[in-house]
Amino acid sequence: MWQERKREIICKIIVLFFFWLLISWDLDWSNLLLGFFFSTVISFVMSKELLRADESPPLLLRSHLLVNFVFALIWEVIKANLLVARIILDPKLPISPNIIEIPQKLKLPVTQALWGNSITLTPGTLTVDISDERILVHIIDEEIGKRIQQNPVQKILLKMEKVN
Amino acid sequence: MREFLILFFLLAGVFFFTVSTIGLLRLPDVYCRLHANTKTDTLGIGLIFLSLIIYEGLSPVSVKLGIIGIFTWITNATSSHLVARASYYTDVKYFRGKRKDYDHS
Repeated sequence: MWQERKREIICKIIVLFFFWLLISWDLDWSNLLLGFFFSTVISFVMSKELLRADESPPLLLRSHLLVNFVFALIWEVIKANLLVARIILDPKLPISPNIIEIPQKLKLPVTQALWGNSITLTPGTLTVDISDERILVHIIDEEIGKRIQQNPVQKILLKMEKVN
Repeated sequence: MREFLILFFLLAGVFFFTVSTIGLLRLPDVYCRLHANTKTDTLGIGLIFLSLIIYEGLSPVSVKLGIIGIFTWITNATSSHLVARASYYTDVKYFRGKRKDYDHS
């Protein structure tokens, strides 16, 4: 138990320290010391809440899927923007909003969170609530609701869950 | 060429921000307004940061801009989800169906 916790804290210190380096971009020794001090304090104080480490397959096995995911998401975001911009700038404002329920296919918390945020970023859909069984989605137009399940992002996430 | 790219991305970003503000004023309820804000703001920020990164070249500043861009994408989606969830569970009224039903409300 203590062993596991120690490993988690050390991981957190390393992550926070590298993040500090990336943000401050300064290799002066006082700066390094300050960053190390704060990352240690934060990792101990927030050891329960921040960055929980779960057992998962190695990142290398999934990295190509992760790249796929990012590009698919960016493409979806661009499509979403053009669609929403067209709706907003249309003088007639052609919307027919509703809140619908779609089944949850993903099981891991990480992929569920990624999928929830992806729904928010994709065309005309907005995650309202999320659980293990269903997702509540607000749609801006009736037609869009039928297309959520065919989203390529979800396929990539389903593939990501199968890697083990 | 580089100046042209910078100008193009900057203007595109400003355009999407303008659209998001117009949407905030035009759309009828909380959820629809969130649609306008999250979607167009993310691309607006992305495009403006892209133009700034091209302007800056490969330097610490562009790395920081990239990180801030990723953060805004994550936080934008998360915070709008929070607002939507909060308003759903406090029974905020929302419009449904075709627009003519609430044209004058």
